[in-house]
Amino acid sequence: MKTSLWVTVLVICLSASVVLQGWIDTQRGVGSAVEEALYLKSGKTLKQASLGFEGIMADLYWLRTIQYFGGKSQQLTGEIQISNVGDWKLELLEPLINITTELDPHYLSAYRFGSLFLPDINVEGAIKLAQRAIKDNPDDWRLYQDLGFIFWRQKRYQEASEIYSQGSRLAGAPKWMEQMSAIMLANGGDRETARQMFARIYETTDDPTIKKTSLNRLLGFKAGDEITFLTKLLADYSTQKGSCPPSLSLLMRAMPPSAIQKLQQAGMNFDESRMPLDPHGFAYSFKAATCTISLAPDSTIAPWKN
Amino acid sequence: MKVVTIALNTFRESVRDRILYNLILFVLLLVGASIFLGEISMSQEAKIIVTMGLSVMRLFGVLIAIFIGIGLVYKEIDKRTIYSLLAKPIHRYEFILGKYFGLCLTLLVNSAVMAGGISLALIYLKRGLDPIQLKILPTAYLIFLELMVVTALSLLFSSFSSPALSALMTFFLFIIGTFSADLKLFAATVGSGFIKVVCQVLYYLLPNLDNFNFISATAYGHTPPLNMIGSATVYAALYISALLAATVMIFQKRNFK
Repeated sequence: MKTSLWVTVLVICLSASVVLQGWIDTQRGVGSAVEEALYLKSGKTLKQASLGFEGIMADLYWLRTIQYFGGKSQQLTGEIQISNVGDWKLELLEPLINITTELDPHYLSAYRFGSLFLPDINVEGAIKLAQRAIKDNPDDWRLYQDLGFIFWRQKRYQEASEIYSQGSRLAGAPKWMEQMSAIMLANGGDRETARQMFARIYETTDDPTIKKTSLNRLLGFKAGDEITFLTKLLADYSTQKGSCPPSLSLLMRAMPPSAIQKLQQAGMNFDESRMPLDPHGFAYSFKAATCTISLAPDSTIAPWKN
Repeated sequence: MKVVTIALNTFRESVRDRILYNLILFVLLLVGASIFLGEISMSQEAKIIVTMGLSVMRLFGVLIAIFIGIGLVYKEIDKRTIYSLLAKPIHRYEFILGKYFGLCLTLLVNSAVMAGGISLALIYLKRGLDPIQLKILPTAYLIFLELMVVTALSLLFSSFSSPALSALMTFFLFIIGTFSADLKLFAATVGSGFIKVVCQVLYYLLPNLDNFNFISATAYGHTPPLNMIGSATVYAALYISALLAATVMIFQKRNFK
């Protein structure tokens, strides 16, 4: 029989199998999300069952964790915009991270990921994970930073200070770990401390999701500073003219171009009509009735809330 | 007709090679499990018998499909019997199809006896007839379809590669095929466009063995839905046809001088 006949059979059958597979997937809902079930929830059991392949099992569970997190994010927002994951219904995140780290107790990325996102879901679970991370990796100062971060978010400044202090004594720990220990006791709850916390996380992580989240938080602080500055301009204007400006554009027009230039150099964004924009490019919202400035309702900036 | 003759000869050869001896091991395993599981499994004996029996049927079947499948063509070339065969009025495609269906017949007998064995073990456990004994049959059929796909894969690789490499490649494809749903999920969640396209292409080109897996649900008394059985049958037929066409093309180009 001629080769062309076999080529035709091959192409037709393979193409038909692709079409059929597409149909089967729509019937069974394959690939829409990571299965909402974990048949084995104990990393220790999996470790025994993995017959010495626990390293690759840990990698597979870590990939599954990332896919689960990313899949949920895309389901909810259409793109990854992370500020608070508490409402995402991430029931499997904690067991997935626990399994990964029980299979491989030195999986730092998994510990650090858990320290940042689990407190929104289960604080005590996050603390236990971070404490286990330190127990299994006592020489890594970044894990002390992460546990300190969780305590700080819970306003448990005394415990946060102690953990920063312990971490600062480790080889390779940066000087600011010691400073953070003191700051926790002195000004644990203020905004500058919060900014420092996220700045340190941003500097010390290699994980792109954590980096993006920390950056979003930092931009939230920047937006807060800009709102404070614009509010001061409003107050000055009101004092001078005796009333609040009817619009933000009037306030901006009253400013000399050199002042706008200085603000631009300081990192503040403006559109073509000199209206101030938040760090994500959304115009600030102005309410003449209350003479206040705030983030636009559709802004993707996560404002800092203590 | 020539295909049937070659298939029957391949089956006889498998029997002579004592391949079906694995059934003895299987029966011993089931008898042992049936007797001892009642003592330790907290009323889950039937579930464990079904899961273990069907899983072992799949495992033994895959091992036979890979290790016998890779030798189907290679053995004929190695022993130089291919010369006397091809000197006869037999087309090369008839030789490949005959070999393939011969091994499938071996696997069919093997799977049927194993399914019967599981049913007997369940009859012993339940002290009589129970619907679960029939519910395992559609799942066993799906396993047999999966084994046919794996056999076609091993035959394809053995048509151009060494036995060791063929076994390795078939085994890898079996593993990838089992987890192929993860490939699609990865494609859906990955950011890079290039990797997304590569994953999607691989997902559709590589065998999707997840289409044939219903063992866990069967253990809980479920039967595969009819549309699943139908679509899996058509998928297996299409995919096997494509693999056999590729095998024949490669085999026809081979020079045995």
